[in-house]
Amino acid sequence: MVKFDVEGSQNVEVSEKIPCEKSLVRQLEIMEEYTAVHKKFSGASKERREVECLKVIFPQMFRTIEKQDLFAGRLDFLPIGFGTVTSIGGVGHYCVFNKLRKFQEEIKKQGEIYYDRVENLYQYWLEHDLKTQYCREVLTETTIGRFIDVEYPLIATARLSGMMLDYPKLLENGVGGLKRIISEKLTGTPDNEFYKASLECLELVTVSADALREQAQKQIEELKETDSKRKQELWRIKEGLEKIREDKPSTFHEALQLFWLYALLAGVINYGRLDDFLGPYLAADLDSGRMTEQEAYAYIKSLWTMIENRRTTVNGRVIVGGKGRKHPKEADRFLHIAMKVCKDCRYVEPQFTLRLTQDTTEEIWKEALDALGAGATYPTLYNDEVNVPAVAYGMRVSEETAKRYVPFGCTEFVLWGQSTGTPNICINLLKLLNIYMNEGIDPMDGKYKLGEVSPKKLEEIQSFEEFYDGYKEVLDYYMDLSVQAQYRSYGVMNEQVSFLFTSILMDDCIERGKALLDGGVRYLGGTCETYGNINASDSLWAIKHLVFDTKRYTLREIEEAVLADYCGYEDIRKACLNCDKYGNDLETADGMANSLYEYVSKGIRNRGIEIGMQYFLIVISNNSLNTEWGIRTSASPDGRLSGVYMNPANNPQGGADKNGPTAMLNSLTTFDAKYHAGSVQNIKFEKSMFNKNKALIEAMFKAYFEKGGCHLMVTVVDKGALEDAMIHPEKYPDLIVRVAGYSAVFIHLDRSVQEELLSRSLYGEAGV
Amino acid sequence: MSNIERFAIHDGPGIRTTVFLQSCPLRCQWCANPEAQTEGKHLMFLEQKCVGCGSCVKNCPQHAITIREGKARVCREKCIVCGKCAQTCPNEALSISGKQMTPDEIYDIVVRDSIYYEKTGGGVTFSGGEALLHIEEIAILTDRLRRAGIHTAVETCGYVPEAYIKKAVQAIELFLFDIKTLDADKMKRYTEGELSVVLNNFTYVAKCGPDRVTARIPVIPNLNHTEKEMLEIFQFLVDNHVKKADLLPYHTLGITKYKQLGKEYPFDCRESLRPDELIRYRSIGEEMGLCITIGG
Repeated sequence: MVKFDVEGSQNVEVSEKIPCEKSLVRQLEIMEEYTAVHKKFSGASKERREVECLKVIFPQMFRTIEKQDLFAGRLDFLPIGFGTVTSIGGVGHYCVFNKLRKFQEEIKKQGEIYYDRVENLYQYWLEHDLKTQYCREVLTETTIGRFIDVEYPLIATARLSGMMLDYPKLLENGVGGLKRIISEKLTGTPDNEFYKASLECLELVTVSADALREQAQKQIEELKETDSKRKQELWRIKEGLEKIREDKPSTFHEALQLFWLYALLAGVINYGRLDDFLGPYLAADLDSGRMTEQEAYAYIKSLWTMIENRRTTVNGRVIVGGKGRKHPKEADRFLHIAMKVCKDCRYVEPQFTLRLTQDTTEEIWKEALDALGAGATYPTLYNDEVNVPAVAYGMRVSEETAKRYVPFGCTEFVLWGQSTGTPNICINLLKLLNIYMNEGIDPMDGKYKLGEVSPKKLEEIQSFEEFYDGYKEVLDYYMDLSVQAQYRSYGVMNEQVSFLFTSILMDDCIERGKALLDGGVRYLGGTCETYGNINASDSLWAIKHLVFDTKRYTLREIEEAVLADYCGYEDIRKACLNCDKYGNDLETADGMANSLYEYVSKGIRNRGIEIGMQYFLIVISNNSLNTEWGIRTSASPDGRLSGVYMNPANNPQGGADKNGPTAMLNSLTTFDAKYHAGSVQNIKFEKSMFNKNKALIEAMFKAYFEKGGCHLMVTVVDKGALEDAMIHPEKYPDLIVRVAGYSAVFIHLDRSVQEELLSRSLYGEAGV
Repeated sequence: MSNIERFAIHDGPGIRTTVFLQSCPLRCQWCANPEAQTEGKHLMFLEQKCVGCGSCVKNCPQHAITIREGKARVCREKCIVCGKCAQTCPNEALSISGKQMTPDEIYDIVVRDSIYYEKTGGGVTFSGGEALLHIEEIAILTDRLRRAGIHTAVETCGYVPEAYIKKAVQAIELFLFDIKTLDADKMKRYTEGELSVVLNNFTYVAKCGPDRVTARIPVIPNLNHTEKEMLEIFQFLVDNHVKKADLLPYHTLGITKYKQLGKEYPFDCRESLRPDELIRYRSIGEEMGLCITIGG
C-alpha cells in the first residue's frame, strides 16, 4: 500500500482561524461523543449514521452570538466531526490529523490522561476518516499524490467543494414546508432511509433555531436597561428565529437568518446569487417601510462580517448581477447596497462576484469601478455574454440552465441547485513536460513518474510534431488517471455519507429519494485544476523555435541546460527567455498556448463524458498553488529556473508580458471559453493611475469582454504595494503605474524611476 | 524607430498606441528620450542591472567591453552596436534601442488594438524624436489607418520644414504641438532651434483647424516656469484660436537614459516639478478661456 502523510496540510490555508470557544476538555468530550456515535451506528445505514452524528454537533457547536451580530449563527469546528469541504472542518466523517495532534499537545498540558484519550481517537480515525480511506485506495507511489503534496505531477482528494444550494426552495417553503414535502414522499416509500434521515436533519434546523433563540433571550436578560438599541436587535433575532424554526420567512431579516442558519448546518461555504434570492424580501421591506435603507445596509454588512469570520480563504462567494435572475429589479436593489458594503468593508471574504451582461447599467459599472478603485479588490467580474453559451456547451445543458452558472472557490463554475463541480484533481502540466523530456524521471527527485508510458530518447525525435506527440501521450496517461481519481472520489464519498443537508436543497434528490452522490443530483459534474499551463506552452514554443525552426540547439542541449538549472548554460537560458512569450499578443506563443489548452481541456472533457459524468472540465484558477508547486518543479525550457513559481492563473509568467495591458488582454482572449469551467484573468493597476482613468479603463474592460474575455480580477494597489514590488517583483508581474507621460508595468521600470515614482506618490497628485 | 508603446493614455484622446520614431532636429536639454535624438541603433547600458558576469565580454567581437569593479564598462569608441552583448546579457543590463520597421509592419501591430481605440475614442500617435521628419512613411501608414477608421495624431516640436507641415496637415488628424517658449534666445540656448520656424508652423496648422491642435507646454525651470511666460504662451494660443493645452511638468526620467547611453545629462535642474505646482498656471489659462490639463 502506498505511504502518505495523513498529517499533511489538506488545503491552502492562509487566513488565521478564530479559536474554538469551548474548553479543551469539553472539545475532547464532544469528539469522543461523536466517535462513540460513529462507532455505534457502524451497522446502520449511512443516512442514519450521518444524522445521528450531526445530532452530536448541532446545536452544541454553535458559538455565542456576538455583540455586533444582527442575526444569529456562528459555528466552531473540531478536529473530528462532519463536513463537506477541507476549508472548514473536513469531508464527511472526518478527522484532521495534524490539527488533532496539535490539540493533543495542547491538552497534554492539563494531564497525561488526556493525551491517551486523544490518541485513542487518532487511532480509530486512521481507519475511518473518509479522506484517508480515499487516499489509501487512490494514491500511488509516484503518479498520484495527496492534497497538497507537490512532489507529484497530479494530486487528488475527496471533497465536496462549491455546493451552491437552492435557497429559494428553502425560503419559499420554510423548514416546515420542506418537512411536509419529504413526509409526503416518505408515505409513498416508507423504508426510504434518505427521507427519514432528511426529516431529522430538518428537525435539527428547528432545534438549532431554538437553541440560538434561547441564547438571544438570555443575552436580552443580561443586558443593561440603558442598552435599548442592542436589546431591540436581540429581540429581532429572537423573534426571527421563532418564526423561521418552522415557518417560511416573511421579512428580509428572517430570510437572511434562515438562509444563513441552513448554510452553516450544511457546511457549505459559497452562497450563490443572494441578490436574486434575498432581493424580493429586501424590496418588500423597504417599500412597506418595515426597514430603512440604513438597516438593510447594516444587515448586509453583518452578513459580510459573518462570512469573513468563517475564514475559508478562497471561498465565500456571493454573486450578484447577470442573466437568468427571476427578480432582476429587486435583486439590483440588493446589489447596490452590497456594492457599498463591499467598498466600505474591504474584507478578503466574501469573494464578491459581479456577473455582467451587455445590459448592465452604467450605474453598476460605476459602483464596481469605485469599489475597485478604493482598493476593495472586489467585485471580481464575470462576463455572461461569453460564459452562458460556454457553460451550455461545456456542461451540455440548455442556455437557460447555463444561466444558473455561479463561480465558487478560486473560479470554478457550478450550476446552483443542480450540479456538483468540486475540483478534486490538480494537475501540473509543466512538471509533466519536464518529466517527459527527462525520459520519465522527475529531475526534482530522480523518480520515474510515467507509469507504463516510456517516452522516446530525445535523440530519436526528428520533428516538433513528434516531440509534441510524445508529450501528448504523457498527458493522455495523466488525464486518464485524473478522470478515474475524480470519479472514484464520488464513489468513496457515496459509500460513506449522504451529505443530507446539501442533498435536501439540490435537484433532484427529494424527487428521486436519493442522496446527492447516490444518483440524486441532476448533473454530476466535476472540475480539474491545471497548473503551469503557460510555462509549459512557452516551453513548447521555445523548443519549436530553437530546436526545430532555427536549429540553434539540439533537444539534448536544451535538456542538459535545464537539468543543470542553466548553470553554465546562461547563453541557452537567454535564448530561451528571448523566445516569444504568451501575453504579448503574438500569434506564435499565444497559438502554442491555445494548442496545449485545447488538447488538455478537450481531453479532460471527453474523458468525463465517457466515464459517465455530466461534465468534467478544466479550471485555470488563482491561488498560491502555482507558487508552492513551482518550488518542486525543475527548470523549464521557457527559461524559468528550478523552484521558481509558475505562471498564475491564465496570466503570463511574471514579467513575460511586455506590451502593456491591451496586448495582455488580447492574449487572454485566445482561449475558447467553452472548454473550461472558469479561468482567472488578473490585471493590476496602481491607485492614482486607475482612479484618474476610470472611464478609459472601463471602456477597455468592455472592449475586452466584447472580444471574448470571460473574466477579470482587477487589483488596485497603493504605495505600500509599490514598495513591496521593489523587493518582491515576482509578486507584481502586471502592476501598471502611471509614470510621467505614460503608463508602464512597474517592475519593468528602472529602479531610479521606481524610487522617483514612490517619492512622487508621497505628495500624491492632489487637485490635479 | 525606437519603440512602440501600446495602451498609451497620455498622448491624445482615449487608449492609443504611440509609435516613437527616431531623429530630432532639436537638442532640448531636458530631453526624456535621448535615445531617439539620432537615427540608428544605440547601445543602452543600465549599470545597476549588471551583475558583472562577463558574458558580454566573451561575446563582443570588438573587445569593447571590460569588467571593472564588478560591472561592465563599454568603450563607446570601439563599439559598433552589433548587439551581440545584449543578446546574451542575462539581466538585460545591455540592450539595443532602435530598429527598422516598414509602415506595413507597424500597421500590423497597431491594428491589433482597434477595438480599444474604437471604444475609447483613441487611435495611433506618432512621437519621437521628431516624428514629422518621417512624414513620407507616416502618410503611407495614416492612409491605411484612415481607411480602417483609426484616428491619428502626431506629437511634434514643430521645428521642421514648412513642406513637411503642409503634408502632415493632409495626413494626420490631431496635432499635439509643443510650445516651449516664446523667447527666441532661450529657444536657441536650451534647444538649439529657431523659434520663428516653430511659430510659423504652429500658426499654419492652427489656421487649417484650431480644433485639430492641442498645445503641449513642457513646464521647465529656468525656461518658462513663471506666470509671465505662461501668460504669454497662453495669449499666443488664444491669438491662434487654439483652445486646448496640456501642461507637462518637468521630470528627471531622462537622466537614467542619458546614463544608459554613456552621455552627460546636459540640464542643470535635477528635481522634478510636482503637478500641483502647475495649478496656478492652469487657473490663469482657464481664465483666458483655455481648456487646460496637467500631465496630458
